[in-house]
Amino acid sequence: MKRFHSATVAAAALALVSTIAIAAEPAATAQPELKKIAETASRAAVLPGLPLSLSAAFQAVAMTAAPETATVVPASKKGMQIADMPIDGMVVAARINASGELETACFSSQAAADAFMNGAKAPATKTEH
Amino acid sequence: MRNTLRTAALLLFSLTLASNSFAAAKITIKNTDAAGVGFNDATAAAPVGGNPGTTVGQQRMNAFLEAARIWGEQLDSPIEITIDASFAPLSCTATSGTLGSAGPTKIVSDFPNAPKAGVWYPMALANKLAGENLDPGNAQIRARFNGNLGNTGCLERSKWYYGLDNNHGRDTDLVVVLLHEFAHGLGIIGGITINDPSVTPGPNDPVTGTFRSNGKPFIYDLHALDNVTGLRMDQMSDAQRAAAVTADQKVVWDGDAVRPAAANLLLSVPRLTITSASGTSSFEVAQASFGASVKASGVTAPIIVANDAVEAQSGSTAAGTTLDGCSSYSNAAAVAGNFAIVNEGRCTDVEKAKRAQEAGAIGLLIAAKAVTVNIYTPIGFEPSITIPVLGMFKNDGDAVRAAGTVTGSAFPDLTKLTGADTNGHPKLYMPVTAEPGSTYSHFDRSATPNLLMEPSINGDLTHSTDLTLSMLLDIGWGLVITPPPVITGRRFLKR
Repeated sequence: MKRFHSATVAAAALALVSTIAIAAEPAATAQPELKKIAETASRAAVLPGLPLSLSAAFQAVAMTAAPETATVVPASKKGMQIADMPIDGMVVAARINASGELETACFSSQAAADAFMNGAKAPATKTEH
Repeated sequence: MRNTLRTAALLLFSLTLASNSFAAAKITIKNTDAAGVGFNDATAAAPVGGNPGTTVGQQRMNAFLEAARIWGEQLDSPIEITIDASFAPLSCTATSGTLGSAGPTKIVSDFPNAPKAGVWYPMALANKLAGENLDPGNAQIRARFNGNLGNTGCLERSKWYYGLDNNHGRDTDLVVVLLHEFAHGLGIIGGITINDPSVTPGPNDPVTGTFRSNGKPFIYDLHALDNVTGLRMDQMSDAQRAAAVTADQKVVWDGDAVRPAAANLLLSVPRLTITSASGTSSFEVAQASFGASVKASGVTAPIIVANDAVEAQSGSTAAGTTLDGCSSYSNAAAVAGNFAIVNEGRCTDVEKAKRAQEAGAIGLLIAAKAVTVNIYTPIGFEPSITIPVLGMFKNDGDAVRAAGTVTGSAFPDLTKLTGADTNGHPKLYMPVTAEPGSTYSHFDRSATPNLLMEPSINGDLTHSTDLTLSMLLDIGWGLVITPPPVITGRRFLKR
């Protein structure tokens, strides 16, 4: 349970914290200090409730995503946003069940796949037509 | 003559245009493995199933390239798609393991030429729609697969099959898994938070039903229609979405490309009509994931209750009954040429089918062991089963047994498709108990034939992209139109 919780938070953080709003204003013309304040405010606006424990990940992504030497963004891309997806992607896992059959299933995180592999989830059955 | 030349020139010009406008996507596999592992594993291997690689690493890469070829030849994009790929060892034990994972590296919204504002698109699709690389220098899809599978201590029973001919036997066909996973990377992925119901989310965790990325839907969500509210996922409130993801198969894929494709591909739901001294009744049955399909001509025969030995308790497996069909039938002669009926449980559905087929039954009915909301659908994979295997509700099974001498007729109900609602929209996988990841971003398991984008990788899948291709068309991908052979001007004139 603890593992799942951590992974869920981490995955959500990865999906959320690296949301980058690309501004039309040429970033290179802004004062570095003012630019940092603006960036922080901008991120805070889109990341309500971000746990403090995730600040390290936040900073790492932010440094990668918004370098000081940001290039001028053409007006045609005003408003465009890019967000990172969780590194796990969709995870296919397999297990051998009590009858000796191999079962496979696809999950949205390694944590969910781990739960399946540990037998926490009953094998999904076919459902009604 | 001049008109003929002009016509020829126009034809060539239009063919050139068509070729440029609907160019096959170039999908590049970028090997990110370290020396000596994954794709760089130099262990000698004999070529298998059309895969000419002579090392394990080469064969892995060839399987990746084959999956890339299959998607690339069907989807158009003027922008190269790069997949960061790894085949290094992943977590694994003797009885379970991670086979692999894949997905978009990034999502993009409000890019130039975006068809919908405020909607996330996977990077590869966004590049295609924008007509430019929006994130130069980076891959659009990430894929990691387990290079340890089949080795000592890692699901030794199940090895990767690297052949390209789908002749995988009981091994796991890598190309099929790759086609499935690459499809997630191309856009078959929903944007709704679905938490594990057995885990209490923390105060800062996103809530089930909310959009997981900055409050905006994915393009996938715009095609998920809830049959309860009549709304698409992007039109619903967070609470409505939370209800929909556990409403049990009420959400379907609503797309102009998928619907006609489903009508052509999916089989009809079978029905069983029983006739006895007390009259005639008819009810729905469920086609197993293995065995023969119920053909339009139907199957009609007496239904015989199969009897077998009572199996002793074995470890955690409970003792059997005379009705579970897990041992050879004691009344095999009576069953021969007729339907057999048994109960769910104790052994696998495949084992039950083997017993019935050995006894000469022309079909097997498996009744649920308990009263359930959903009909019991036998699952498994066994090519040697050639009789139809049909699941049914417990109460229907009880009724058949209570009817005494009874004849059954199984026919397809041509008005209803397996795995689809009454309007022919394929159902998305939405079980009552949410399964994070499996829920929503896959088709429901009730489709026959099995579909590439069901949450399980079924053994009977081929290298067909079935309804998945249509899903991708619905979210914005274009179909490669293969131009007819070019006719040169000179040759055209001679005619």
